[in-house]
Amino acid sequence: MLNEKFILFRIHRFRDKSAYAKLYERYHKNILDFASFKMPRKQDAEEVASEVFLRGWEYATSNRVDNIKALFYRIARNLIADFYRQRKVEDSLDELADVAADQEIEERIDLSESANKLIAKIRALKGDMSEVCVMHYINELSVKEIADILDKSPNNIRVILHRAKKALNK
Amino acid sequence: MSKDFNEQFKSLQAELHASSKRDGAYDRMWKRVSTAIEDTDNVVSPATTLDYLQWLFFESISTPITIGAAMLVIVFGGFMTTVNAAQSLPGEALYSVKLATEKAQLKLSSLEHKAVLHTEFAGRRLEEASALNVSTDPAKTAQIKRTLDAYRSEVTQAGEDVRSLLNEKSTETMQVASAVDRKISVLNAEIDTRVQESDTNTLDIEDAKKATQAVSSSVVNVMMEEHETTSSNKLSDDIEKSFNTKLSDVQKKQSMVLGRLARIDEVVTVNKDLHIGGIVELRFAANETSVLMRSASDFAIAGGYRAAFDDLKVVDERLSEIANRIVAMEIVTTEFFANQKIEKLAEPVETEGQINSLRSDSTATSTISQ
Repeated sequence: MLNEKFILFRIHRFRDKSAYAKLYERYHKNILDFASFKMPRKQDAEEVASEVFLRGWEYATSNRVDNIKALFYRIARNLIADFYRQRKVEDSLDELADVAADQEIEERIDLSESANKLIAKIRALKGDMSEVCVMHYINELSVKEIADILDKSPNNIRVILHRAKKALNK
Repeated sequence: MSKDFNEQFKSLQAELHASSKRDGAYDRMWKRVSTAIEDTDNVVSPATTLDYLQWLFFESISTPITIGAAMLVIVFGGFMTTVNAAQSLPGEALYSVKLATEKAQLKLSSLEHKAVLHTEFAGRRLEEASALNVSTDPAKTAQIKRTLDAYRSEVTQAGEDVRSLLNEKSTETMQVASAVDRKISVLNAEIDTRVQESDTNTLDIEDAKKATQAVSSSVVNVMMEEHETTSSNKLSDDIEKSFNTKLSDVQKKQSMVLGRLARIDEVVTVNKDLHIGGIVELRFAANETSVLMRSASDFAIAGGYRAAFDDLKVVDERLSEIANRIVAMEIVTTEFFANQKIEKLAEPVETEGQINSLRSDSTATSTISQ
């Protein structure tokens, strides 16, 4: 954590690109996974994930950041929302996720059948459940970290996780 | 899905990562990001140890020191303000801090402690009224009135708290009532002194005195009720202690009254032109209270504390009436000497004998006022 703070200090004070590369190394897989579950195609997810790190750089070099992980996720959520808004879907992010789940989503031929089934199940989860489920089980974020990112209480997140687990077990 | 729930997710995560790595998704992303970042200006040297130390100082040492220093200033400043506020008087800037501190103390206290605190605060109000009395502030009369009103409110609240303790059947009712009663006795004695000292607000002081006596009776009643409903040696000891304190108070009051009467009598005997009637009757009435005090003691010994306290209450009231009449006599005496002094000053002073005579008059005046 201290190390990450030092990296952020370097980025903010000296626009240190090598320091930012370390952050990228640490979070790029998670952000890409997160975007993959929200975006209809793999290429769209890649674009969103790249854009997250570009905007993260711009923000971190001009502002003091305390929690870069939360910042990356927030940027990702906003970009995903913008993506669907551009498709003329005028709804909230949670509902947009549902819309995404209902859309024709290409099956990943590079993944096993069981993986594709699980992805489909996660995408089919309603409301915040899908997002929270990915953050917790795929990205391995703690309940508190998810609560910070989504501006919800840890208890609220636990309830959502419990419901998601129940829905996935059906 | 229930059994291997986490395993399935782990497996999915591994598949996703492997797939992204295989098809070069991570590389493409990094290329895009790094190219965009490289286009930005200001290439800097890599982080050095010095940079790290500099950062560590600001993050880990400098900020906590600043916060610590700020907290010290706030805490110490707050403490100093509270200490200064404790000495403040009504009308002064810090007086509201003093009252706020008292309110906070009351908020944080239990009902048992609140009752005693109210008597303490009442004592403070009396001290403030006394301090205001000697001040030269033109608005002092109004301030003394407000302070004595606050005194009455504190004393009344103490009485009500003691009554609430009885209603709530608190195990500490007798203990608290007896502590409050002792404090009230002290306040009662202080008010008597104020009556003699004060040249303004005499009616307000009288009201304060009445309120104190009313609360004193109420607290004694609570003690009686508690004593009558709960039989315990501890309670009997408390009530006996309280009775003895009250008896001692009225005895002191009686001695004081008799002493003042003796001084007036002395002055009247020496100065034939000074006519003050009723000294003998008052002395008789003051001595007569001893009969009631004895009766109260007899009741107390027999365990009839209610009757004993009633007798002491009558004694206290009678002595207060006598004290009021003595004040009137002292005023007449003081005026007499003041007039005599003016007359003598108007005449030319010729002999050493006349000067000595003037001196002896002024000594007599000061003796009376003492």
